[in-house]
Amino acid sequence: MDLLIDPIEELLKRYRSEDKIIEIDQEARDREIKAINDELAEFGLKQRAYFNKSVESARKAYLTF
Amino acid sequence: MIRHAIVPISQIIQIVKDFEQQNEIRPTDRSFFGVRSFINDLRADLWCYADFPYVDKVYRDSYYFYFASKLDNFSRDCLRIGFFSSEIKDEDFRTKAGNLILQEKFLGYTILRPLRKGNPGRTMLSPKAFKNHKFLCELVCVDTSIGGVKLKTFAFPWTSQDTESMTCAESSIWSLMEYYGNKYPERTPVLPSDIHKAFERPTRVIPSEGLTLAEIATALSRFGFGTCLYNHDTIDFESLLRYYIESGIPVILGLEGINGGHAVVAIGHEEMELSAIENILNTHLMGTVSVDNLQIFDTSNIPRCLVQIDDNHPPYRLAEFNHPCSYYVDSSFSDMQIKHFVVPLHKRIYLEAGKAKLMFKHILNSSDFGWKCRSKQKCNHVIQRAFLTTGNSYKHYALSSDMDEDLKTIIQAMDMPRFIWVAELSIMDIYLQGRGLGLIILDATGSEEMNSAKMIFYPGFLKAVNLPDDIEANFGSFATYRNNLKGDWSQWTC
Repeated sequence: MDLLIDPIEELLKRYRSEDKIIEIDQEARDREIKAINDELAEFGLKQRAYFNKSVESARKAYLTF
Repeated sequence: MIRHAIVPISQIIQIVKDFEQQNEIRPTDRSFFGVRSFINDLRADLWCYADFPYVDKVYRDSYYFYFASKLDNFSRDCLRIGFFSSEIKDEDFRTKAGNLILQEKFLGYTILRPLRKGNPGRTMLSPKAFKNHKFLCELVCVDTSIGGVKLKTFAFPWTSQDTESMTCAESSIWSLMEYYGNKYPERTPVLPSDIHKAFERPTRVIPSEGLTLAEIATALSRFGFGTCLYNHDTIDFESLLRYYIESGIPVILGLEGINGGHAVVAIGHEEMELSAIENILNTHLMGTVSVDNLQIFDTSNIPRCLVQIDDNHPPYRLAEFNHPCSYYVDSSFSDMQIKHFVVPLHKRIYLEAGKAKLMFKHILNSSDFGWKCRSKQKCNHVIQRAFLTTGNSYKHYALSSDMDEDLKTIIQAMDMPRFIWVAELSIMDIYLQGRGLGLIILDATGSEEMNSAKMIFYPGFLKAVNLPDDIEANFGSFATYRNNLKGDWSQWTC
């Protein structure tokens, strides 16, 4: 396995030496991700209702022409 | 004995008339759509190779399961017409050099069934054969043998409805399955009798009185798809439909009007002039979603005409989203609207378009990894073009594109799922050059949470799942991904 190259390691080494690593506030990021996940979950619930309605309405939609 | 004729398209109607006479098809029997309107849509310089009798697998299935059990006589045999872009000769079928010429000129074929209604049957005809082909659409490579010579063409499968064994719903399912069956080894084309067995109904299914949308969805699920069904009151209904079309996924549209319902397959969109797109962008960027002065314009809001496979009209009809039957003369179709659409998703695509769209929006507007706070491109708008593709196709495109070498390295080393959602990000001037400045890649096999975001890249910022740190990356612009929909750019091949 030692023969396998990790191209990302080489690339990161270069970016570090050029001081191109962006510092992040991990706590703030975790909060942001949680807030987005909560909104996505809420949307998922709403969407389930739409999808159920779609199926109900599709049962009546006869396509014959 | 197989008889054949090679004639310019202007003379093909005589052969069609002979076939109709032989099968006692009278002019008054013709439904409002027949082979004549089909031929009128084709280029006038085409040449035809007609052969009879031809055994067509789809018609034979309808024949044995339905037409043969009637008192009236129906022939088992069809007439097939192959189309070529210019003059062909009998000698071309006898030499290797001639065979190559035939392949170069071959555009596809249509089958005429010995039926009084809807006699144009299984048709595989390249958009290049039609007078109007200014659009982009899904195509599949189809093999056939004409006059003993193996030929291939690139087309989207089409058939007209015979109104008894196949109505619009069955035709749409058949087209879609024929497309997938020819395109992917794990799929199989289906016959009309397979479709009738694929949904459950307490009453008889033949003679067909059409299907409900739920039955269409059930049939597609039985054929192995993870079917999604959208209703017109779903948020972003039109935009989501366009996401799937941009992804190269044929979608069955459920149309409804006062007089009834109809099904067609949407397979692409028109190719708009750049100046028209520029005008639309200018107008929309004045009033789209604005968060902290960032305006996000989704290209699914560009009102391009849809390319439709409609079994009442020749293939590749263009129609606006709000007037999907605008090409009908029959007034009973004039009020038809798209009320539903059914998407035959691969069963491993779990993140559907609505959730992907919302994730793109949240990411772009994030206060931590959003465009406004991280992008070095200080423009007050961003143009987003979203689509689904496979991880392998995207890697292949990225490595052969003009992307920055470091970006290629990162994408090549990424653990890509089988399917990904991609949002290409750009600004007006760059977008109009067909180029992107940023990317968001989501795992389409993932859930509706931020773990599914695998790469966020803006000018000056890159966060990727295979990088432990975010990096300041200036990768420049890159040519946008075009593999999903074919057109002049791919010379109508795939």
